[in-house]
Amino acid sequence: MSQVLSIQDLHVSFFTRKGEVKAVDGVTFHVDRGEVFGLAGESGCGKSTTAYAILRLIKPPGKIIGGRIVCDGIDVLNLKEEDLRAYRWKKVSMIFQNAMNCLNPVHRVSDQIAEAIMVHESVSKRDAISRAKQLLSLVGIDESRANDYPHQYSGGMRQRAIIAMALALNPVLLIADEPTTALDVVVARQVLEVLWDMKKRFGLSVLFITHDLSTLAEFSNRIAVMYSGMLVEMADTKSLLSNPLHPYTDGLVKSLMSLTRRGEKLWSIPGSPPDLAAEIKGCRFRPRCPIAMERCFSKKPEFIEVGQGHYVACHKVVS
Amino acid sequence: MMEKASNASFLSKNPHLFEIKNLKVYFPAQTSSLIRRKYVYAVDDVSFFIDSGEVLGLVGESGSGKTTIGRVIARLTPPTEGKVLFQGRDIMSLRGKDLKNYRRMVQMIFQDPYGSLNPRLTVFSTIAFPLRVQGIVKDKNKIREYCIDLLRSVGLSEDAIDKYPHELSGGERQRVAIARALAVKPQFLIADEPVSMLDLSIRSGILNLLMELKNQYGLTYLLTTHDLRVAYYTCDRIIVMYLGKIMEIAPIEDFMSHQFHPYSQLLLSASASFGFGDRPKRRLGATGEIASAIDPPKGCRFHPRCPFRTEECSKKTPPLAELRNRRFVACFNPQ
Ligand SMILES: Nc1ncnc2c1ncn2[C@@H]1O[C@H](COP(=O)(O)OP(=O)(O)O)[C@@H](O)[C@H]1O
Ligand SMILES: Nc1ncnc2c1ncn2[C@@H]1O[C@H](COP(=O)(O)OP(=O)(O)O)[C@@H](O)[C@H]1O
Ligand SMILES: [Mg+2]
Ligand SMILES: [Mg+2]
Repeated sequence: MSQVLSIQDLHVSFFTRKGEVKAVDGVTFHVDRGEVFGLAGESGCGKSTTAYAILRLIKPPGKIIGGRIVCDGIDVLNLKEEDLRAYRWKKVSMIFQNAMNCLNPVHRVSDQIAEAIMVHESVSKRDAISRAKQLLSLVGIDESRANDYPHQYSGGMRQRAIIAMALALNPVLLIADEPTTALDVVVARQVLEVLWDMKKRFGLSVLFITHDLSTLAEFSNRIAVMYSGMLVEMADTKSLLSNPLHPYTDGLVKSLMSLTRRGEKLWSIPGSPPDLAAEIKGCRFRPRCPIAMERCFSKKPEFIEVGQGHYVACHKVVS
Repeated sequence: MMEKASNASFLSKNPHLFEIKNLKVYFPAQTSSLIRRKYVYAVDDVSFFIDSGEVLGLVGESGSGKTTIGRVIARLTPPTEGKVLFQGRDIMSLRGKDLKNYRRMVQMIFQDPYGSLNPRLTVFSTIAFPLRVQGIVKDKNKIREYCIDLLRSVGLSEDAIDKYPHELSGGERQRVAIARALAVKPQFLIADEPVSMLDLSIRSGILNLLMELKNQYGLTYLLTTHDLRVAYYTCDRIIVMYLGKIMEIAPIEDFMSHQFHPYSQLLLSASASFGFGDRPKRRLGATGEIASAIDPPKGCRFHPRCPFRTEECSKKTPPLAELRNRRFVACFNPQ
């Protein structure tokens, strides 16, 4: 079994006063064992909602409308309530967006990690603490700092402590939701290097969510690009970045800032993403698309494999 | 609609638009000790100049003192010691009309487009307020028209004018903040991390806009960022800061081809865009994280993280010295 996670035709909606917000509208992808899979897209396109669905954490007014999620052989959407807790930590664990600000301020970091271990496994407090310290040293936090309180840590250390906690129960899949977005470049890199080490040493699989394609360039094996609740393109990292097929991916790649182009005007995609509550006929990217044709107004493009493992949802590309 | 800012009234023989001289900004630190008062050495003896028409970048990680320097120049934070000279005059000595004029000519846009706009004011009220204070548009009936023109010039449509901040995206809010700053026809703009809170996909639009406006109105910028990619796109010259001190000053092109200071090298290796691959290609040379500005390391502030440190570095503070034309470095072992 080479897939650690597979998602088929997932639909998640929020039922708000404005109407049904289709935050995830028919998403299909899988994560291979031991790979880093990047899920990229602008704010509000449905990345976090996808992650919450994988953990069955969607709360009203949100609802999982349909689809199938299989994680390490478990049929997640049919999992009984009482089995969810073990599933959430032992199979999949998640680094939530802004989690580093959510450590409990009144408990020592080592105690917080030990606590998470003791809730799920019958181990003594002493063993749990010593495991917590091991985990912290894995992510580069010295034993002498393990008993500090969160406020004594810098932002980067807190984020690494969060990673240590997420790994405490040896999950098969780690979901990292914008783990570096709030961090400075240097610290962001250190966090990425820690995640990379974990993947290498423990064969961890990672679903890495970000709005920043440049983070994924050197870090992920494959990338899926999400736009307005749907995937528009998916491929191995190299193909996606060097040969983007969808006009949206193309725009994102062109707007990446590198260190090589001074003086030129930067590329930016005109317009902004559509309101997810609005019904749009045809392709959702069409209003911003530089190459739209007649069919794009009337028919929704399907997500089709056009090259080996390279999927795209665009009439123009497929035609 | 807006002519190039005139500085005729401030003409002087001073060659630099701004001169920052031995600036120190210390904040009282919150500590439990009542006996020994501690300070945050946010900016610690910093000197540099800004020339008219240039984009000068202040580059460094959080806590290096970038925002504080911007706020001192904008007269939002008083210096503890040292001076900021604007065309030769100490900005803290400005009074009355001169002060009002200074407040008009020097504008600041902030990092957080969510926090910097009043949620209860429409875009129109937000922009019109400084206009009224400064008496920029004499005819009251023309204010709305003026605001609409401004919105267009920052790439927003006319219908944005009656919206509230919560109805706008992050990028649109930052455009409104830029429009508000430009409304009073400034000469100098402090852009404090103008894109770091924005999605990558809209950063380029904002940076393009800032550069277009600069050329159009002949502005001078002080731009702060922790991302050298942003600095490379926008700046003519950069100052690399670390824990309240200047590490290196250089013209940007020259800097990109060679960095003398080990900290500059660390910053660059962290922002570099690496090739596609299945592992980070280069490891960072230095380890650890920025120390606290309350008890900053003795000697060179960067020495605990520096791979090239020698004994001297922990004892003496390296002075900022000109290594070659227009290149200043504060390091005992420049690379
Ligand atoms: N609790 C909620 N109630 C209503 N709408 C929501 C809720 N959570 C998310 N949404 C909407 O779902 C969409 C996707 O959000 P999210 O998954 O957080 O996007 P991303 O993580 O890509 O920024 C957004 O348009 C957002 O407004
Ligand atoms: N009003 C203040 N009171 C106390 N400390 C402050 C204040 N403003 C800034 N500081 C401290 O000064 C240092 C420099 O901050 P800042 O100028 O914001 O740096 P940067 O913009 O480079 O992140 C930091 O340690 C910060 O916590
Ligand atoms: Mg999110
Ligand atoms: Mg700042």
